[in-house]
Amino acid sequence: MRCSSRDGALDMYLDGELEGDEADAMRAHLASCRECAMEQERRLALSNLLRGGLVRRRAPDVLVARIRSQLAGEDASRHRPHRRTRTRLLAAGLLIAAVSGGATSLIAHREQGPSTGEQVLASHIRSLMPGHLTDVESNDQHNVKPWFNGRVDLSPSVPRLDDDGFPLVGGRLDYIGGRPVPAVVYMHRQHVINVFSWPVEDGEPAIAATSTVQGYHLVHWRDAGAEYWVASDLSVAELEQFVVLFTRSESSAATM
Amino acid sequence: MVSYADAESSPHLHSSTNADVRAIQSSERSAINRAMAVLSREFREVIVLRELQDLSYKEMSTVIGVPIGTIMSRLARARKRLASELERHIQEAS
Repeated sequence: MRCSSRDGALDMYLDGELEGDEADAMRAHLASCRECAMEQERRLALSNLLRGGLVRRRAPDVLVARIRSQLAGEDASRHRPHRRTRTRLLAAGLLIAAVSGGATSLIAHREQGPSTGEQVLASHIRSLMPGHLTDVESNDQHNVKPWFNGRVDLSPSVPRLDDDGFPLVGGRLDYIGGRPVPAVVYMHRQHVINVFSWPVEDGEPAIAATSTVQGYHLVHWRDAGAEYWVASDLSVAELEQFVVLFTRSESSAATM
Repeated sequence: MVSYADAESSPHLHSSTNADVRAIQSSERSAINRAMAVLSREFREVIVLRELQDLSYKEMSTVIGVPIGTIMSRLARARKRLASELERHIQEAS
């Protein structure tokens, strides 16, 4: 017979939600209730199995820290609803790859050397110089996408995001990691957004991670088979909104 | 009911060479992946945030945008479902 009266409390205890007297009471109960002690063992074994099996799929700590700090900031400013929206968006971005992206995999993160980010940033800045932004200039993805055929070894995603305020500008050939990669260019309120992508060997999905270098924001993630880097001087919130839209239409296009 | 503690100490472990251990770890990983794959998005979400990201109920409530009570019940159902799926996959594998 299960000690059901303690069920929710046991969950809370194991999840670290009980403190002080409540935690002491649960510890005392566990010492005397065989049913709950067994359930505790099963739960710890399940947690260990999950953490062990998925350990290399964890999000980068820096991302978790950012969620935490955003949540803390939210507490401090409850009257500013846009922060909530922003957190929800961030959570959506976090979970897109983790939950809806790969069918079988969760979160895979492999530390990117700073060199890739630096190269992406350099390419982005170079693209802002006059005459460097696009090799093919078009607002139509049916012009931009085929242009890359034969030029790069990956057909880049070119979702149509005009209605969301991110019109397509065009595409160009760029060089990152010593090989040609497609750069797809979007615009938002006069800000340029470059989307770089290239195929990767072990294509385990990785969640989006954002970094800021010299005032530019970089977001990178990985889906099955391809690595993506997005660079812009948009605000982090707007850039992450773009990433959410981009990945959403990408996955809906893939399932069509 | 077979607990995961039982599943972990499967007979293969008695002659545990490194290769054996790796094979078991790899089959565990694939069992976990397959079990996670059949969970609904809501269930996977709470499992990931709690078990992998160590978010508190309150943090999860804010991130997902549902009350703490919903987080708790969803998490409990998700764990139950995950446990039964894992059990099934591990039994099938052995």
